[in-house]
Amino acid sequence: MTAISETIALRPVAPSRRRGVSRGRWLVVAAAFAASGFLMIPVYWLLVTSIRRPAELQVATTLWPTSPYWKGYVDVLQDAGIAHNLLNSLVYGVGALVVGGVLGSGVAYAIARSRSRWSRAVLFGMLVLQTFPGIMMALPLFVLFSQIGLVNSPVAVIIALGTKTVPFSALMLRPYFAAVPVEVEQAAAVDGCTRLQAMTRVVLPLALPGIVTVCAFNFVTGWSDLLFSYTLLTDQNLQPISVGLYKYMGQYGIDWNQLMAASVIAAVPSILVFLFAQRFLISGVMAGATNE
Amino acid sequence: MTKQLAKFWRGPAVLAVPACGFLLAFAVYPLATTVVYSFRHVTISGLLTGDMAFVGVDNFADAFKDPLLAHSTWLAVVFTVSCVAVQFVLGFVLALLLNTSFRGRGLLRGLLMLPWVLPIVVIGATFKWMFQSSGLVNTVIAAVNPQWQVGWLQQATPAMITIIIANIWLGFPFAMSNLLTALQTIPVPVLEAARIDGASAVQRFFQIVLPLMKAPILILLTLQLIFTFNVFELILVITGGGPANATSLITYFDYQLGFQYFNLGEASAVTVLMLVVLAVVSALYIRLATSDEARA
Repeated sequence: MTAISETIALRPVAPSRRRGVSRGRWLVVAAAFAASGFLMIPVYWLLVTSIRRPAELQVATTLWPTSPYWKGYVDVLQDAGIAHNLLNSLVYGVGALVVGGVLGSGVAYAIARSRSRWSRAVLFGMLVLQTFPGIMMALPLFVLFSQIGLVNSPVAVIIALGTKTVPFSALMLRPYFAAVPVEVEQAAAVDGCTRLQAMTRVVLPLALPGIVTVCAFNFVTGWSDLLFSYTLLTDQNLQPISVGLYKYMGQYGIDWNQLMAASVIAAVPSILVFLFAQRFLISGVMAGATNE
Repeated sequence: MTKQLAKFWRGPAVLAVPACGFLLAFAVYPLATTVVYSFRHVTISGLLTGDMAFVGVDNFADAFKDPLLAHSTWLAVVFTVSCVAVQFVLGFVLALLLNTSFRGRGLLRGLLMLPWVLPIVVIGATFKWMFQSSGLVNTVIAAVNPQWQVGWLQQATPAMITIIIANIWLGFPFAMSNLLTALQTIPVPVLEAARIDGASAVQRFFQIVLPLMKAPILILLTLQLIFTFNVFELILVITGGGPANATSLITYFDYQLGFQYFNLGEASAVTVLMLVVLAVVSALYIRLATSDEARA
């Protein structure tokens, strides 16, 4: 748990070491930029291909396009099928966000506040569930949903995503709730709040940075899902963008320019959410630190 | 009893009930039925009528007789070990580079997290495109020597190398970010003192930094093992297990059994086998993670 939360939750605060400009330091900086440049080649190639003329694709002798060609994006955005895919992705993203956020914050709060042995057991359960591969869940869920007639329903996909986002949210949010002092709630109780009111009106606002961040990650989990929507849906009208792209790749004569343009569009929400969540993460961690 | 119940009802624990109910119904129960099905003859029609004969360990026997089980397990081991090793080393090097402060460090760190946040299907599409016969990789190779070009997705070993490279790329930011966080918990005065005492950079790394980072490193490695063992979508997108099952890791083999051949009994048996392996690794992870938490 801590490893994951630290990954996402902690951005480094630069230890400002003042040192003279040495040659070793320049080597480090040069190496950092060189390594980053090399590792960003796939991203560059994704972007460049998305604005390259189809005729230039097969003879990719140049590493950059002669002139940017935006028709791939125009075609993709005008494609009714892709628009529908994007809309479905939005539905799964919001579904995963809501299920994970609501159920996850409830259980995270309970674990953070309760001192019983059960809360420890629940915490263990969440840790275990988080390590299960999606494919191991997909098959039993497919079986379960075929029995209760939920295959080919958006609900099935959202439930399946919930098996990922609920444990994730619970583990991520627990520290945020634990950081809210119990005294705050007691004060609310003195003022006549019930426990639920105390939670919704006092604790939730204080834990908001954490909740927003976790919801953002849950949204991306749903938005970019491939596994569950691929295994639990056969109806083309329900497919999200990941499945749409994957199926397109299986066809003969792929138009890589269009595929890469569509890929960039599919990636935009993930990138935005990441950038936005990172800012919240800093403030969240800072708030937690000053409380202690 | 009623008093206890009333107390529970007013306490915080009640808020755990919806999530626990949800997970019991849609995660624990399906997994439990998988264990049951692994001992039964399961067909799609049988699922609906409930007509599933008990067959003892036949499904497991079938799975072990299937040469693809050993094959896919071996591939999973190769894949997991090489990915985790390279991701860890690469992540560590990058974390050390980014642990010095310089202009543009934040930008690089943000950029290097990109592979971790891109949708898997996008990563898969990009690597499939780069590793086409006439793709970027072969174009660059051809510039050096046209004879060295490889049919990356058409041959067994190159296809395996392709998915390993793609997965290393997808996962190195996780290692980098965790190690960078861990590096920043090391007190600077300790390192300064060692430096003043004449310890070289290499000595400081192996004798101070590494021992101090032992706990987070162990957690990271177990998590990486789990994540990498679980990789499935990337393979589906880039190679589809091919050519001729050359990249059909155990997760993909399990998927084929269940969703392509609808051999649900044997697929359940393979799932149970994976569950056992994962249980061991995740038990280790949980021990490490919770003991670390206790210390913090």
